[in-house]
Amino acid sequence: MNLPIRIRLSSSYFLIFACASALLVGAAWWMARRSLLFELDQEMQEHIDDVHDFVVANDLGADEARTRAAIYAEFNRQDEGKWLQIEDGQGNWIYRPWRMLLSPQSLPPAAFLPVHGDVIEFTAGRHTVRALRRAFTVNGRVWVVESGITLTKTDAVLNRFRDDLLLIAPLVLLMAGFAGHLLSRRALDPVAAIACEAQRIHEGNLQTRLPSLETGDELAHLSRTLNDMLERIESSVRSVRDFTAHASHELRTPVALIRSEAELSLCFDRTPGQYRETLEEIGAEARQMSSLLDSLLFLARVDAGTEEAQLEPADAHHICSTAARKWRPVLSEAGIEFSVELPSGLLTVMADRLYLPRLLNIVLENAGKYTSPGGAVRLSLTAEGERAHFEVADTGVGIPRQDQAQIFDRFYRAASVRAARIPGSGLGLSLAAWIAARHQTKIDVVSELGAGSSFSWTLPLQFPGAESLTAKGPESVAAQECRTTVV
Amino acid sequence: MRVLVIEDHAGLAKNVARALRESASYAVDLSPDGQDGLFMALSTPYDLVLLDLMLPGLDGFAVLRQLRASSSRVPVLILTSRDDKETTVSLLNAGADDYLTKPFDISELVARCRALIRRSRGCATPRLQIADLVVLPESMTVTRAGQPITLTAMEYRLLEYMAYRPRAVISKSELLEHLYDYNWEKFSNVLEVYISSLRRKLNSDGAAPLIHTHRGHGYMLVRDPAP
Repeated sequence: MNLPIRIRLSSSYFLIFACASALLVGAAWWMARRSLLFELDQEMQEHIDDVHDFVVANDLGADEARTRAAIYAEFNRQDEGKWLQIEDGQGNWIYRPWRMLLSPQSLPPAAFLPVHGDVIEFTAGRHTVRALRRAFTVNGRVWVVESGITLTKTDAVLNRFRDDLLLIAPLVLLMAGFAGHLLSRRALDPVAAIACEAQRIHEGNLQTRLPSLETGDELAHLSRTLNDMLERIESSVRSVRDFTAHASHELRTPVALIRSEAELSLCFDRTPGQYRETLEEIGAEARQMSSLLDSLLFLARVDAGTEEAQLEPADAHHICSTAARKWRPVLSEAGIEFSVELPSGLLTVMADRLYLPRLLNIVLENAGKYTSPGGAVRLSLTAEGERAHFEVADTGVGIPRQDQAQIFDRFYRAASVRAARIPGSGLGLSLAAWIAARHQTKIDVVSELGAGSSFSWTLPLQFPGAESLTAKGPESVAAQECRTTVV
Repeated sequence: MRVLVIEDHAGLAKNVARALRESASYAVDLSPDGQDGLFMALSTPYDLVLLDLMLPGLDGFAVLRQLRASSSRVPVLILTSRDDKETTVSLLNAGADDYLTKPFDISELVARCRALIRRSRGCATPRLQIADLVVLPESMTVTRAGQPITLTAMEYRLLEYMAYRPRAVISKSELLEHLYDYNWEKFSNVLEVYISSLRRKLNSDGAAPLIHTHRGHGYMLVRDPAP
């Protein structure tokens, strides 16, 4: 059914109300009839009781003639629609009113009648009659008495009552239907208002919110839920915009530099030395830009959900020593002491073979960038219980306390680092954090301004039992460590 | 003319400074930080400020707002990588005078700087003329009575500054503030040396003197000084 909810609501309200009022009308009429008939039956019982009491009081029954005479004298009067018939046990009439003479009908034998009597209805002439027949025995003689009443008056009362009900019920029904329609409109108007407001919201005005209802009901809940949803959409759109703004800034600045470098050097005649300097500058900037592009593309793939880590058993020892080999010459050229502490045996961890080296590279690159000549960088790998512990510590500039929470945010660079003119895009650690999260681990940062920083994380060991063969706790690691120092 | 470049990318700032020095003969100061840049812009009478938007310390927008809130009249040229309409409109509304998107053409940057300075000096024509002396900032050339005069960069800078304000007495301290950047040693007698060599070059063939000294006040570039 595709009708609007408002019409469905008011029509079902109307239907339910119609059924209920029909039931009520029927029940009221039936109960009224039952009460009226019950009253009639009581009256007829009393009538028969009167006959019984009269018979007992006058000790009738022995003498036939006296009995008839006494009963005639007592009961034969204007009947007003009520009458009596009395018969003895053998089917002989003792008393009969004139009305019954028109339709002679004998009463049933006393043995067929229940103790409290039997009610029947029949038509006599123009009237419907309700009659109660009861038998009793006095002085050894059986009396069968029938008390009857015409239903003319009762029927009239009931008919009048029915007519009134049938007149009132449709009126009430009409009013109820109208009220139902009004109610459903009143209930659904806020929904229409919310829908209308929601239609007006598009990408350009995501900061607008639906009117918040102070009613505390389901509709207020609905509008609050929609507003919460808008909040989330707005914040994700804002973060996409921020990302684009940042990315374009990070990309355009080096392009601007490369262009200006080339244009400047073409403005006037330069010496070969100056041209070489310009080209070197352009080359360095282009290299930095391509690494930035790599990071941006990686982040784009991460956001698109196409990058997934493949966790498989990997040799942590090998990965660390490869990274150390790569960074040793770089750090040594920068005048930084680089030490590597690795356990002598195998440490197999569950890791992605491409991402874990990348994570190490990011952290090592940062350590090298933020440590001044004469400082030290230490890469260490240890087995701690069921996990392998990776740590890269440096004696560099350190991270101010207020910046530590944000260093994993994209494009975030601490003000001190920007001021120190250390190149970087602020993407490395956000990638590192993503890689760590894919390995179900987290990078711990311990840093003190001016004293250095340490980045560490742990990965589950593939064969924790085998660890005892290769490394027996921190002391033995220290004893077995193969220390490499390059100055 | 003296220009402040507030740009955190060292390489780019260096190139912009070099272009302005070489192609327009401006004195250039650099600031890599918004906070310092704002302080410098407020404490020194620059003729132009080049401002990047994404800056450490204080972002470019805030620098611009505070600059205008302190009723600084210096022309501001924004250099940024953001090129959306909303940013442009809100920057211009906040008091920026011009806007250049990175990456930009260095000759366009210099031309815009020249145009902004020209406008801020209340001048519409790109040719400065005092009597028969013509100064062309576009090519940094000077002619007198059609004859080209060769000047050193510093002499040209001095003459261009005075040519933008003909018939005005320009004090020595004003010249020192507008012709030298922070890295220069400021000795006032150096200025006098430049003035005298400039006088000599301008009056080489016995033409009427154009630079007049008002003792205790400064210098004036005009053909017939008021009595």
